[in-house]
Amino acid sequence: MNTEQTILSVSQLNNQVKFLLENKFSNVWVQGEISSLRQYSSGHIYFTLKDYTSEISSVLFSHDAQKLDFIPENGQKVIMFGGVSLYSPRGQFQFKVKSIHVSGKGDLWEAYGRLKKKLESEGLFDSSRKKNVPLYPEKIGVITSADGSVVRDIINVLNRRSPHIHIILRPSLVQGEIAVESLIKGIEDIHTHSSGVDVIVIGRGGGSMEDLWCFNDELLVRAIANSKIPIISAVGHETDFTLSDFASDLRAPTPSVAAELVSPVRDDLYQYLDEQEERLLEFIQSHILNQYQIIEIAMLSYGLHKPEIFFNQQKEKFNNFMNALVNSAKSSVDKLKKKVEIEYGKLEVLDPRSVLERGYSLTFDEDGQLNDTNSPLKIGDNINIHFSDRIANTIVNKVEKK
Amino acid sequence: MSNKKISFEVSMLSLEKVIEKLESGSSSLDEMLELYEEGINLTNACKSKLAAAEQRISTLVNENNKFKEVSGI
Repeated sequence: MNTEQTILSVSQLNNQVKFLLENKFSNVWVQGEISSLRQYSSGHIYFTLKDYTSEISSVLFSHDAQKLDFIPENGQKVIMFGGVSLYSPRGQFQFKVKSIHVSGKGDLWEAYGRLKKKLESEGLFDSSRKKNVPLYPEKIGVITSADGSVVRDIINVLNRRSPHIHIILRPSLVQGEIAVESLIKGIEDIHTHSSGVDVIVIGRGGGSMEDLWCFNDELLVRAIANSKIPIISAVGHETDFTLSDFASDLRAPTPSVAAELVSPVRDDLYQYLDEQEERLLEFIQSHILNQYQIIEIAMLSYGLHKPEIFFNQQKEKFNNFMNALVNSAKSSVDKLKKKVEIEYGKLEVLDPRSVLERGYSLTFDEDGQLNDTNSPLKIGDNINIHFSDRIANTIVNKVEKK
Repeated sequence: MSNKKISFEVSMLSLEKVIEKLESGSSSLDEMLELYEEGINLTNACKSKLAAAEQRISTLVNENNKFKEVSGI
């Protein structure tokens, strides 16, 4: 042993190595694959970065982890920026990560961000641009792949809820380079070569961000924004939004949900229509019953008691008729109109005010009692004659039986 | 009156308007009878639009630049 060499403690050795490493390797870019990823409640993320033959322990502290715009996962091929160090207490060689970019996708994400800003500033995503999705569509255009479960799911939902809706499928690629052109042409074709489509559902099932990437294409996004027919985007991704989702008139997290958004339940519609039919009839009924009430009050105010029995009979007959109509399956409009007109005519006849208007008059004695056929009337009686527009007070001169 | 040209959506919304008008109570009996007739025609038109026995499913195909809707998938 050479006694001229300095003898270091373990701590001293580790610290010196740490110093050396941090000097030489403080800002490096490293490429590799993530594995053994663990995240702690502190927010710090620990993992191993490896290539085919080597690996290095890595840590991403929480304040840097928060800045990521994606969630790191095992298996991801990444490019990391950071510094190498030694964790002295353990003598552990580690890479302290400052930022991570998904390899090759780093550019894609940046492009996404730039395009999103650009289109946003053009107002393409404004809510004022969005068209209302029809409440009661008759024909739905579906742009998606013809194979796979997506189309079947949409059809199942529509079949269950709205079998009256016509579905027109315009098959398209939904992944890969040519998908964009296929999707854009799909929108065009539905506009140009199909008639009566009230709303379009465009989308696909779930997949990785790479699978869905065609829905971030600028041309497709513009085509969706400029569509005359309302478009629902249904790109199967629960949490992430593609640019197509921002441009569409409505976004659904999955194609099945999209189908639900456009399909009112037919049975509910039938029920609604039946209820409206009843209400229509009831409006007429209550209007006429109101008239009965008004006349009833008029009759009482004129002290007309005997006609009241006849009046009540008419009212009851009318009530029964209306109930029968409400209960019957179909009410013929003409039949209703005729009957109503007849009833109304009768009502007018019974109305004491219209009697007066036809020139008849009513006579009352001093006590306000109506003088009708059997009332005692003597010479010298003070009577009031009610015309439609005035009351004459007079004394009976002569009474002659007819 | 042909109901084919009037869309289901328009019929449903017109029906709502008829009901609203009747509800407001501002019409004479004649007007009410007219509204009633219009309302019943609308409910009938809507019901007939709903009455498809089987769902129509078709595919838009392009054969030599000729487009047509073919039944089925």
